[in-house]
Amino acid sequence: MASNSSQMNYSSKVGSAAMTSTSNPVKDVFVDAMVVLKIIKHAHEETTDAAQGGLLGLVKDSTLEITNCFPFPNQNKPENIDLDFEQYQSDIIRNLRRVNSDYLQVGFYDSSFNRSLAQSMVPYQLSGVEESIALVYDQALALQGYISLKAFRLTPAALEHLKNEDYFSPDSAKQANLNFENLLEELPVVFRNSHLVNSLLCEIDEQARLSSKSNTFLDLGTSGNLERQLRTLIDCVDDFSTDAMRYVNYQKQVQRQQSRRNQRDSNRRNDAYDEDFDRMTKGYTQSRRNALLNASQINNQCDNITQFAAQGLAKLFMAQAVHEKQ
Amino acid sequence: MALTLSSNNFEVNIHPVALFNIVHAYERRSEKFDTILGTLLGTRTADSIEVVDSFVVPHSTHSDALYNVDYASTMASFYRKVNSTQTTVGWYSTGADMISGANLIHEFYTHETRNPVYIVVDTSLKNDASFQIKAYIGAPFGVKDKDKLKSHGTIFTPIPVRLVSYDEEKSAIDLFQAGKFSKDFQVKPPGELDQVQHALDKLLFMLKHLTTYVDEIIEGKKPSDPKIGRMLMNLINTVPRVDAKDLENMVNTSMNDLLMIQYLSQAVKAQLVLNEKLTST
Repeated sequence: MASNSSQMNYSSKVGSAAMTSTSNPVKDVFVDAMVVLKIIKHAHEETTDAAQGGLLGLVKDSTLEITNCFPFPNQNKPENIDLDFEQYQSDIIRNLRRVNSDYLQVGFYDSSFNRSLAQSMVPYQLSGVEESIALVYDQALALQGYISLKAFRLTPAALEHLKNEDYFSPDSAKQANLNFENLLEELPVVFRNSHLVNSLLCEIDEQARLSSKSNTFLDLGTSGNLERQLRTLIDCVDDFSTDAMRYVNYQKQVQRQQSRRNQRDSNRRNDAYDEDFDRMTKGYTQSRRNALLNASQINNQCDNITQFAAQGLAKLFMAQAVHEKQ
Repeated sequence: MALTLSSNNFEVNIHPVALFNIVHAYERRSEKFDTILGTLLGTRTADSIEVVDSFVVPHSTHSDALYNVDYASTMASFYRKVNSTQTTVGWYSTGADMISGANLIHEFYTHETRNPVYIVVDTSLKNDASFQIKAYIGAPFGVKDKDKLKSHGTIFTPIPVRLVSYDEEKSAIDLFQAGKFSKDFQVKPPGELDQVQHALDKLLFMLKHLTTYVDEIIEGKKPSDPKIGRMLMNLINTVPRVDAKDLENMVNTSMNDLLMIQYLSQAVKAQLVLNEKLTST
């Protein structure tokens, strides 16, 4: 427990140190080959649900190095129902620390675009390490032979405002310069290996030469993948529309309140309604914050789908060309 | 006992991720050690062991190999929480050869699992400067004395090791191979369109190579090889015969699907902008 608390101290210290040097934000994400392989393995074995886990690493100048990771147990499984999740995390990090691994948790990974991805980034970046990222690995694309790893994080500007609860109140919304486009950003991911790992790669290359390197990039089937991506998008859009409805409701209530207030002014009675109004505004503040996060995620997901569709189209055009020549 | 175990059909299949883990742990070992030890996790079938993961276990000194047994079992229990099918199947050490005191550690693992496998990974690159991976299986021998428990020894019989990987792992490793030659050993994952283009270039290259070969044989410059001929025949037979209209239909429908999806996702984005304007003014 002692080492656990000291670790917490450390992470908060690093967090505050990073806060002072926001002029030098993280620009790249370096990922170890081992981390990628561990995520792949976990995603491959987790058949029913998305694979999720924690990332461990360190911040060095303007790069975030991810040097290790560990899987989260699937909480939907019956045997894991009474698992203390926090305890599990701190235990495993403490154990990894004993073998000289980096022990600063710098975010999490997920094997699919989770509908609450942007939401779950908030606690990591607000109370943990500010440079934390979410690493999204696309399992379906990997099955086609294409390794896709994307790093997302909330922008520094967004964090600044998320700290301030009042920021999302309807009054300040007018001068808001924060919109869904600058809330969540993608960082370039680079894989980097040490010399020894490279020599291991040479050995693997020699041993596995006979197993021909199959190229499945040219697979024309795209529907399965798209279906999955669209399903999460639909979920997000559903959330989005509920939030929009909430806003409309809020507006109606504001109008009603104002007309009542006008009446009260003429009657010169005490403002007992105002408390009610404040509570409502607060509730709305929370939902607006969520709506904004959700919107930024939809934005990123749309980009993702567009990219995927573009390469699918390219392949189809090619198939058509080949066919015409025949 | 030892004879039945050393029969040739027992083998170890190891996934690259376990090896990467070992190398990673080796690079981060404490300064005073030149070797590391750890547990191998995986599954076991009747005639093979599949090693899918590994973790390092701290040990006190190299000579008498004081092994941290508690650590090994707690870590194994963590891994079991994530994937219950994986169990401890053996252990590893690094270095050019087996470590001294291997039989003691081996004995600990025989309590954890039946017939543990012992893998030696040469991270020091001493033997021919290559990454040798050797696997052994241990069998107890000697007369067991009732008073002294450790009067018997262990025979380590080498067994074959093979590298296996999931399809995704293989494509990841192919991707990393590029890093061997690049500056700073960095690999940038290429964009999706780039990969398609790359695959096409490769296909085109292979086709060109093949056609020149066939042309040369037809012109009589090279002797024909019936083996290759048969392979080529097989290749041509695998090309599906699709009716021209059907194919066009198929291509068109999928193209329409993709275009529709692109259109819809743009529409969703437009909605977002609209909503933004409505709520923040």
